[in-house]
Amino acid sequence: MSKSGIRNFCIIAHIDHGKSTLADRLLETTGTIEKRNMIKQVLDDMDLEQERGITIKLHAIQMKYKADDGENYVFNLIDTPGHVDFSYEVSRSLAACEGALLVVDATQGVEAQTISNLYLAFDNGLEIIPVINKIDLQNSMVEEVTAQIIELIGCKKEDIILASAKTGAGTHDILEAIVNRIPPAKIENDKPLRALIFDSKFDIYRGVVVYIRVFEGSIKEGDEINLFFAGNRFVAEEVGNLKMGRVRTGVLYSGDVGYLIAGIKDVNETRVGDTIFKTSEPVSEPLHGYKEVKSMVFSGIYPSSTEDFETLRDSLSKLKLNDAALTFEPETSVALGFGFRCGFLGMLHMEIVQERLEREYNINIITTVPNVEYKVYKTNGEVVLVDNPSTMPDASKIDYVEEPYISANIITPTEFIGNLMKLANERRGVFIATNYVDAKRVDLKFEFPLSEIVFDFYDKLKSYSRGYASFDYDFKDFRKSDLVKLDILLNAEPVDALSTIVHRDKAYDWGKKLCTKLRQLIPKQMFEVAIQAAVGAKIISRETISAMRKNVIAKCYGGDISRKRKLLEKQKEGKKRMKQVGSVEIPQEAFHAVLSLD
Amino acid sequence: MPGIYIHIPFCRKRCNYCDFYFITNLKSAGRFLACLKTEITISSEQEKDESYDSVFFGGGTPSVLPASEIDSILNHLHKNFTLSADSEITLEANPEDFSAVKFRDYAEAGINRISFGVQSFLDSELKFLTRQHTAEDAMNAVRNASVYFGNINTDIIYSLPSQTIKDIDFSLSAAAGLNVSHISAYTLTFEERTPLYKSLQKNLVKKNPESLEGEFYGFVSEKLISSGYGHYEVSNFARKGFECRHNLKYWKYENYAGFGPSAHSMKNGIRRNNFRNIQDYYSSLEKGILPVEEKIILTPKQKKSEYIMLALRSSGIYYNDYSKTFPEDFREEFGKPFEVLLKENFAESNEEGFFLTEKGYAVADEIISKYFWT
Repeated sequence: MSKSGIRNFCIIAHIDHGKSTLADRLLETTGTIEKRNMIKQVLDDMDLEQERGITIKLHAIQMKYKADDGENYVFNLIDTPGHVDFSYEVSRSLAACEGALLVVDATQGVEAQTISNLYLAFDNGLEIIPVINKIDLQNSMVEEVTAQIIELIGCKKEDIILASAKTGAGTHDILEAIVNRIPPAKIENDKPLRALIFDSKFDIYRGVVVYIRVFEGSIKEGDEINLFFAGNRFVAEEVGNLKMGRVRTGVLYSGDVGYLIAGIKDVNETRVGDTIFKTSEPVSEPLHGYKEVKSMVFSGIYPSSTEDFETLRDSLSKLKLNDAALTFEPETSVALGFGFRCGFLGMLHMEIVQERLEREYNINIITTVPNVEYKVYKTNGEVVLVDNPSTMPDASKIDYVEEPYISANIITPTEFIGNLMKLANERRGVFIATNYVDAKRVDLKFEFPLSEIVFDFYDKLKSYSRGYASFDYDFKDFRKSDLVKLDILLNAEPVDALSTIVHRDKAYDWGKKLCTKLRQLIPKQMFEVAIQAAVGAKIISRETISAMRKNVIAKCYGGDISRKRKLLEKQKEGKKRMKQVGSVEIPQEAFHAVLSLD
Repeated sequence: MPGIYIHIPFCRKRCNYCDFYFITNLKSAGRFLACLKTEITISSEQEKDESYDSVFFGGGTPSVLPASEIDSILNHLHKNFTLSADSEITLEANPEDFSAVKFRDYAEAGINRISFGVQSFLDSELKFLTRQHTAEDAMNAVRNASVYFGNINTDIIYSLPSQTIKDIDFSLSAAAGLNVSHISAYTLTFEERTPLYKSLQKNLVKKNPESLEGEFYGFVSEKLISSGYGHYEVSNFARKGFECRHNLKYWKYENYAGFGPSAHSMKNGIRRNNFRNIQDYYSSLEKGILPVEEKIILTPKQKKSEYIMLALRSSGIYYNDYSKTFPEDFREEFGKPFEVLLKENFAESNEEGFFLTEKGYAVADEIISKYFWT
């Protein structure tokens, strides 16, 4: 087969706009899998992904297609993660393609995330094939959505394919468009090898499986290879194509998408975006676009019971094998004991890690309030990065503090602009621009301190727009802000795990809300408990939990002592789940009380 | 010396708050008595040498049985066990079961202590608790019983929804006014599987908040102590020398044998309980097998936790007794809570032992689970 028959593409879509169903349809129509063997939505193979309806880790799959012109083509569909937290990974999988299907739900229209991924696709020079999906639904708005897409990418009306992944309508048009509109992968086999790592995954039997796109040259088993940025050297043990499973071919040529196994122990050695070359043919230029992925959001993760510390460490290490973006370092807290400060790409990434720890690794964990990383400029000229509020230097030693800002796109029906402006204002947003997507929808550009969108911003956005607004962001820069450390004291003892860093203007309000919330969450104790919020030595708020008046089973159980014993055992179990600071017992949910403040 | 508990599972009618085992069909009383006697006979073969000094007829409502049947059970006990001459023999009774002559018959059968399920001396409260008697019935029953019994307990239930301190004061004053020797005062609990619990779930009744219950608890103790009763267990008050000998065995970690459906026994760190269901109870005994549903061999940890719980809820920890039962010294083992509890007036101590104060009793479960449960 001629190499010009290769088409590498991906699907850009907002969550629930039908990406996975469309992918399934393509696989089925090309005979890659048989219908009866198909588990719904093949591309999302982690339980969690299926439940959340988002593809967290990307994969690729090869299809063969005999087109109307009678020729056979090879398609490589590269899947992309569908959430703002993973925009770098998205950009690298886009970089492995020549084209993209832009899938928009006919009932929902263009959303913020679609737009930001579309921009990434433009940046990578991809050919875009717009597809309006779910046209079979009664409430579809094909005309409006068509207008939005034309406005957005400047295509012609006839360039847009109308489809229903559910009924199969439009599937043939899509397959033909892939052949005819997406540029064939370039063949440059005579150049030295340059291959892009667009993902990797840990396999317990084989070590790291690296997903690659070969741009120039070829790679065959036995080749000695190097990674451009990581600088390490391996021997290619096995290469091949990605079909429903791995299909060993022994060699991959330019234009191919496939996998590589090279005895690599840890996904962290093969960072997404790195360039592979042959040791015998060093290249001077890496493929464009490599970025070191940085954690944006941090949180303490502690085992509920202290004896699970080692189990937690093992589980985090295992998770990290497959998730290079996760970072963790041991830390200790007076309140929570031994645990880890973990870094995440964003809130979704954090939630996924927490959920996987509890569900797949079966550990009960306590997570502290998430925070961002601050650049602290000390009076002695030193600059320190602070990712844990309790390690913030003393106020007297701080010259000033910088916090990360993001640039955000919010796409919303125009009727909610007022609400969202108000929300942006509450979250210290800086308004940048308004662009009309169409007559009814607008793209609002803001810059926000990242810390302001870490807590419940997404939920707020949805409630302020009755669910219609969508949101996407990208890291912008660090900016000087008037930030203070807000401490919580229980009976005059500071609880390190409850400290937060907030803007000075918000400290009073936060302190008050936090104290109120904690008063609701902390049960009565034998002693009165004073809850105080403090900035430095200054107490800004106080609540009191009165002492417990009665806690004794005052009932006759005759000689049935076992019943009393069981009741007390239950009480004791309840106490074990609490953490003790001084004499005060704190329930676990109190440690992320801040997340549900209002 | 160990004690004997006998569970009489019959009641005329169900009370809405009660989750003790009972049946309302009295027709099978004959079969029950036969099985009970079989159980006593079989058990006695293993307990030949023991001597007992308390018998407690609990229920259910033991007073639904005529004195002749109580008499025959006691005779059967005497045949099979050694009961000391001064044994405390208690019968639980409902006030509506009594005519004056019945008391004489019970006394003649050997009963020397009556425990009345009075619960309240206010008719409205008795109605709420779906009791079958009136306040007047209760007054009469206690007065008539006093002719034959010098040792009478009344059970009082308080912290009823919308109850006031005044209401509680009324019932306690009435009991004290009748000069009973013992008062058990329990807070109303909403036990699963009771009609009252269902009402709670349907929001038809409201549970009193913890703070109010605490206030009531404090009032009850203060009131009864000032009326001359000693507060010798979380919910129990007695004139000096009238502490319930049988119940003290539960709390002092002594042995006791229980007969009848759902009855519990304790012997040297092994707890047993009988089948709750009367059919299971019958069929086991009719095959000549003891009707034991569950046997728990307590671990050393459980033993210690139970011991401390029961002691702190009642007469306290006596260091010498503790050291006889466990290899440790209580003061060394629990040095820190010891200090904290004394300092905050939750407990007192002297050379002999460590005791909860009134303030400590009120939060005894908290104290025990926080500091002493191992």
